[in-house]
Formats: sequence, C-alpha cells, structure tokens
Amino acid sequence: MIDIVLPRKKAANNKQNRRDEATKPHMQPYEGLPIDVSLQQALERIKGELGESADLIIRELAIGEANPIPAAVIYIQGLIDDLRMNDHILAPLQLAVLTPPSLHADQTVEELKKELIHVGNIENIAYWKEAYQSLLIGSVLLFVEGLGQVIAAGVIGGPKRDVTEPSTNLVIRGPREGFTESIRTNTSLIRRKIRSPKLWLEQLTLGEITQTPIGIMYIQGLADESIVQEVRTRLKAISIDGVLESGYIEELISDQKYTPFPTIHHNERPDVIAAGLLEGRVAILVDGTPFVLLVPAVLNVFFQAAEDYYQRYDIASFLRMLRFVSFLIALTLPSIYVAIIGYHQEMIPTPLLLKLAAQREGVPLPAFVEAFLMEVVFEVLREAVVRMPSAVGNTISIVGGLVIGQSVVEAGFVSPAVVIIVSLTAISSFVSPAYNLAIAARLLRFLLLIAAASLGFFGVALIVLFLILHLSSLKSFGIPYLKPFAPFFWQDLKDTFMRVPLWRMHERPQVLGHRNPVRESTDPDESQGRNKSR
Amino acid sequence: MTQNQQMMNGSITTGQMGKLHIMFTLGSAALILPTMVTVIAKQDSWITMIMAVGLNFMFLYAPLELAKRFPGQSLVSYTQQILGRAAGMVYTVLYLFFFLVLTAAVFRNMGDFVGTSVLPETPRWFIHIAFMLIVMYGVALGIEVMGRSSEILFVWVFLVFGAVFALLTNKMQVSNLLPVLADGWIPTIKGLYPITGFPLAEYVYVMMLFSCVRSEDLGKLKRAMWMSSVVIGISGLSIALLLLLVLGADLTLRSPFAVYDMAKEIQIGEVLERVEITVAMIWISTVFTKAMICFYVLCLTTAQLLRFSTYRPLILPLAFIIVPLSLVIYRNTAHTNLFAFAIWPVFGCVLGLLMPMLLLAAAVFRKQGTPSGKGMKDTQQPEQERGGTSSEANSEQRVTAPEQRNGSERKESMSTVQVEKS
Repeated sequence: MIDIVLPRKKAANNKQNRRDEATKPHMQPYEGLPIDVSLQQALERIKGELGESADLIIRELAIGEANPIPAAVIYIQGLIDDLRMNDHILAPLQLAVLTPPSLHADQTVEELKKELIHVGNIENIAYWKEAYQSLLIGSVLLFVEGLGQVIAAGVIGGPKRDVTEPSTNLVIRGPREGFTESIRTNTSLIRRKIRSPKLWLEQLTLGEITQTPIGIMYIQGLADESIVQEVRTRLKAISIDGVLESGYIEELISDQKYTPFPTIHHNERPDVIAAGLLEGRVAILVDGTPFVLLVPAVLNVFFQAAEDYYQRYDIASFLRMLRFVSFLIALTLPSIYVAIIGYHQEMIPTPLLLKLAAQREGVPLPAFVEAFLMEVVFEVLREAVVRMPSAVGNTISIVGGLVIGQSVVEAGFVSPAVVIIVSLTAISSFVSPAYNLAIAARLLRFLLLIAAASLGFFGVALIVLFLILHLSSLKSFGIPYLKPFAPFFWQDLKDTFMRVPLWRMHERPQVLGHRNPVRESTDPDESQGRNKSR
Repeated sequence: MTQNQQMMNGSITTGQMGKLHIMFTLGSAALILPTMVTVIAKQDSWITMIMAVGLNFMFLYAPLELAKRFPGQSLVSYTQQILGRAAGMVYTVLYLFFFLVLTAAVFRNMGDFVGTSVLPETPRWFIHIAFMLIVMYGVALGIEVMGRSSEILFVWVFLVFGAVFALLTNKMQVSNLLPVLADGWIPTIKGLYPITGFPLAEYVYVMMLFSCVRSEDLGKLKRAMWMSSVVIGISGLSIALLLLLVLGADLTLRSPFAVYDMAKEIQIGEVLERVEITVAMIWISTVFTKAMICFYVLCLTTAQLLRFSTYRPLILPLAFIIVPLSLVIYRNTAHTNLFAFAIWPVFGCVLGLLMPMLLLAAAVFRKQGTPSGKGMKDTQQPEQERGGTSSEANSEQRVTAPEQRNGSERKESMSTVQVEKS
C-alpha cells in the first residue's frame, strides 16, 4: 500500500507544484507517508531519515509480562526532560502488566494512554510527517509493534533561559520580567497578566526547514477581526527556509517594504504586550526570540514607554513630550546647524555668532563636511561598541570620547560647536524608547544634512515635507500610520503628546476602530450615564 | 468608492477637504495678497478682508451646488453630461489651461520668494526642480495621503501663526489703523478686486476635488466648506490687522512679502530674534500644499479628459512642462504685479465664477443631476449622531459596526472588567 501511495503523491506533486519543487530542494519524501505497522521497519526508516544522528535515542523494550509486545521509545536527547520521561513513560511501560493483552491496535493505544503514560500532553500520530515534527519539538515517541500509529508524549525539556529582566526597554518602576526564547514561557507570561478566557492563542508553524512555532495572540472581542484575519493571511503567505527571529516575520509582513520607519512594534516586556492586547492589538510570538511583535503599530506607539502608565500622569506627560522633542532634535539638529552656519547666520544672536565665528576661525573644513564627518565617526564608534566585548567597549569609548573628541578640536580640525551638536544629537537619539524608530532618525539625519548643505532651511523644509508625505502614506495593517493626528482624532490625543490620567481614559483608543470603545471607569455611575447617553 | 475615486487613489473626508482648502487659500495668498490689498485700501485693508469673507461663499456656491447635483463626479464628467460631449470637452480644455497656468504661477510665487528672501544666490531652476520633486512625490501618492498630510501641516501652520501673533504683541501700535475710512468706503471695496482673482477665482479647483470626497460624507461637505471659509476669513483678517498694527500701511505696501518682513520684527529680549525663517518654512509648507493640489488637479483633469485609467503616467511629462513654464511665466516682479492686478482677476473670474455659474444654470435649466441631492440623505444621518471629527476617521476603518450593537457589547465589557477587578 505504501508503494502505491508514494509514487502517486510524487507524481501529483510533480505536475502541480513543479515550481514549488524547484524552489524547495528540501521537499520531504515522507510527505503523507503513514507510520509503518512493523516496528523494525519503522525503526529502520526513522534511523535512515535522521541519518542515524547521534542525539537520536532509540530505547527498545517489551510491554507486558505474559505476552510481551515489542515496542520502542524514541526521542532526541536534550530536547526532552529526561527525568520525567524515566518516571512517567519508561518506568510504567516496563513495569506494566497487560491483562489481558489485547492485540487490537486501537485498544492497545487506548490502554497505553489510559494506564501507562503518565503525561498530560499526548496525541496519536498516524503519519511520519507529524511524527518527525513532534519528535523534533521535544516529544517522546512510542512505537508499538503492529500498531501503525505512534503515541507522542510531550515532555519538552532541555536547557532554557530563565525569566530575567530584559536588557532593552528598562524601567525604574514596573515589572522586572522579560520574555525568553521559549514561546511557551512567553505565552504563559502574557496569560498571567491577562486572566481572561477571551485571550485567544492561535498557533502555526513557519519556516520550511526550521518549522518554527509562531503564535498569534489577541483578545477576542477587542481585537478587530479583520486585522486578526489579515495577520493570519499574511503569516500563512510566508514561504521561507527559516525563521530565526521575529525580525524575519516583521520584515515579511509589514505593509510597506521601502521605508525607514517601523510599522510593527516589538517589545521584550510582557506588560507592554499585555497593554497592547488590551487596546485591541494583535501579538505575534515567535519561538526562539524574546521579542514579541505587536500590530498594528502607529507612529505614536513608538513614543510610549511602559513606565508612562506606572508613573504619575504629569511627569509621564512631561517625559512623553520630551521624547517627541528629542526625536526631532536627533533628526534635525545637525542639519539646522549646517543650515544656519551656511545660509542663515542672521538667526544667531550677535554675541553667539561672534563666538561661533571665532571657533570656526582656522577650521579648514566647511560646516557641512565637519558635521557629516563627525556624524559618521560617531556612527562608527556606536557600531564598534555594540559588537565589542564589554571590556574592550570601555577602551573604545575612551578612545572615541577623549582622543577623538578632544584632540580633534585641539588640533583645530573641527570646531567645538560641531562636537557639541553631534553629542547632543547622539544623546537625544538614545531617548527614544523604541530602538527601531531611533534608527530611522539616524538614517534620515544624513538626508537632512545633505539637504541643509545644498538648500539651507528651504532644503530642510522640503525634506520635512517629504517625510510628512511619506509618513502619511504609510499604513500598518490598514491603519494610517499617523492615525491620531491624521486622520485627526480628538479623543485619541489623550495618549499621544500627553498621557492624561487613567481615570480620564475611559475609552480605548479608536485608532484601531474596534467596536467596544469603553475601557473602564472608576465611577460606575458615570459609566452607566455614558452608556445611556450614547 | 466610485470609479472616479479609484483613479484618484482613494477618497478624503470633509474635514480633510476643509483643511486642504484652508491650506490652499493661505498657500500663496498669505504672503503676497496683503501687499496687493494694502496698495489699494491702505490702512483699511482689514475692512476689505472682512468683506472678502462674503465673496468666499459666492465663489464656492456654484461648485458646491454642482457637487450636490452630481455626487462623486468631477468637472470633466458633469460638464460633458450637462453640455454634451463636444462642448464639455472644450469647456474642460479651458480649465486645463487654467490649472496649468495656475500651477506654474504657484511655482513661480514660491521661487520668487525663496529666490529673493531665503536663497538669493541659488539658481532659480534648482529651487524649482527641488520643489517639483517633492510635489511630484506627493501627487504620486494620491489624494488620501495629501489629505492626511494637510492635517499635520494645518496644525503646524496655525501653531506657528499663533506664536508669531503672540510674539508680536509688544510691537503693535493701534494708531497705525487710523484714520479709519478716511477716503470713504470706495477704496476698501476696490481692494476686493485683486482678491477676486487671487485666491478666490482659484477656488474652481474644488470642482475636481469634491469628487474625491467620500460619498457618505458629502452631506457634510457644505458645512465643512463654510467652516473653512470662516477660518480663512478670520486668518485673512488677522494677518491684515497684524501687518497694519506692526508694520503700518506704508511699510506693508512696499514690502513684496509683507508677512515675512513682519516676522523680522519679532524680538523678545536678546534671545528670540530674526526667526523669520520659521515663518518662511511654514509658508513653504502651505504653498507646497497648494502646488500639490494644483498639480494634482491638473494631472487628474488631463487624465480624465483623455480617459486614462490612472493619472500617474502624466506626472513626469506635466512636470517637464510646468518647471520651464514657471520660470518664464513672468518676466520680472513688475510683470508679476501687472499680471496679478490686471489680468488674473479678469481671467480668473471668467473661469472661476462666471463659467461655473453658467454651468450650474445650464444644469438647472436642462434638469441634469439630482437637484435636492436625494442620494445623500440616508448617509447624512449616522454622522449627525456621532458628530465632529471622530466619525471621519472612524469610518475610515475597514470595519465599522452599526451604532446599535455597541450598547450591548459595552455592557459585556463592563461586566468582564468588574469580574477581573474582583
């Protein structure tokens, strides 16, 4: 029977998916192949398929005393929890007394599941494809002679990083836990924040070779169903060899491919993701990375830090505005300097102008070249420090800060003003809570610099107009990127430049346009009144 | 979405239409118009500005009525419906040239200002081309993006304008307004003359843009346009008043870009002085919106006239016409003034006021279109319930649930919240 199924399947594949076959050399030959009835055949096959890999453990045994049935336990060393397997799978199997030993396959399976395997997560598998998948996720497979099925018991184990404080998105006040590389840990961290049955998790596998588990998490009833559907569609459309980080997914499912601005939010903190879910967003979890994606993400989201909601609203609002200002500084300060020095000296008050002129005396380079070079040097330093071991990193910061910063000025190659401008820009760019937005500013800074050098403020204005147009054209899962500002929503402005007190945020942001606008109210009477009045 | 709107790459809300209109009007007018009016009306130019508000309504009347009669249709399609195919084509071609000249003139205004005040040593063609590149980008992105960006720019323009107003309070001299109506009412009424050509006659562009407004919003269109006319009137009045109070009539009429020169007066201690470049940047952003709209309307008219399925292939060729045209359209500043004073009001009023009125009369006479705008009535209601700007963006969502369902769901959510709390 096997011999009949296999060629037919292959022939069909050849006809229909010739293109697929060409692009996928990794076409699995076991597609749709049922599990062998004979134990020996099955073992031979699995050994052959895995190339007798050293970490593939096959433990043959016999179940029952009177009339022992040959069986084999198969697992991959390191993917499973050895202790649990010994105690709950191997020991009961070996000690089992099957009375009477029923030879009918289905009954045996039921018997084994009911009595002998003391593990919660069990499934029957009839095909090799699923068997391989579950073996490689970390299941223990039990093959029994004459069954034609496999019992997979999930005892996922092996090395796993503990929940620790995330290294990005640090807070002074707020929960200290961060996501880990294990998707199951991550979903549990979110579930511990939102104990609602309406928190739904859909799982799928992406990556032709890596078979990475991907989770889609949302709160049913809050998340816009059309957005959830869009997430599903886009994820399912992905065809890629491997998904090693959520960045792969991010790049493949964003609306616009050619933009420096991120249209998908990512975060390492369960509380941020939970807050996003409560606003009706959709989280995408990828196994193997602590960075969870959150869609849709409008520009405003990238200025919100977790801590904004844990601190008093007044200081939070102040910090929020500070971030917007810092972003603008990081984006435009060098270009404004170049424009003023090159074209609009009249803007500088006379005493300051004299100082600047005195500094620039003897500097051989034009302001634009000065600023451009210093920006490049700074970017080089920054990149160097990121990759270096921390011990060397300190040396680089000394070399960069002291040697270059100071001596370049003393040597008279650049004016001190430029060093000040570049360092201010650098510090401002670190203020942004979202690293990926700060990178956008980093790139666009150079564009603005060139515009300022060639057309002064007119050039800066043109590039700013270009950016406004570009930002207006962006969308994140169908939501305009500038949503609370354009299209303008008065209601939603309360969580943009300002963070109004929580008791004033009765309503969920309309940015996502969901059908369930009222968030909560501290005063029940008031909320009822609101309901009536609507 | 009508077929028309598909070609235009989306649709805009009435709020966005209103903001586009305000930006369009303030576009080149804010900087140049006050001088022209002050030349005639002297220190009473602010009275002229008040009177101009009424004219706003007059110039918008015919396009609005036509939009109501032919919802979702543009100038090109309804002229052909009213006047017949051939006459409609001829009629549209006239507008084609009007928009062409208008776009070039806007470019030239921008180039004159930037070339004389901001970058005197940069070649004009370079300024025009740089500006054109960004305008082309905006036009290629379509009306929806233009509408959204206008909302952002609108806020900035009014913030800076308010700031300039506040910073100049210490320089105001009420005596500059005196004597009021020294020569009677005649100069103030004469002062309306340049306004009719520029910017009022240019309002005819709305005959193309009204077809981009979302069909469910059309009922609110009239209100939004009236509102924006009032905003335009108030800003025109405050600009005129500010100029007179700060600079006085004499200086205002001598300065080609009076608002820019006025901003030079800003001086708060020794900290804040010579910030006129920020005013220039703001003005560039309004004139940019205007140039973008004009160019877009030009592309759209051409594409619809030639029955293209998209206007995009026309952007580059038309840009190649506009940039050289804008460089030669006026010989010098004197020529600009002559054109603005003597030619444009007549040219503009024929195309911007007379012909739309005649077209409307023809439509009424030949009983074309839906006179009461019956098709819009049912769409009008849900907006009244929600009111304000929130409904605009709400319905921009792909999913908008009926209002009635909200009530029950909200209660559900309330109860779950309470459960979570307990």
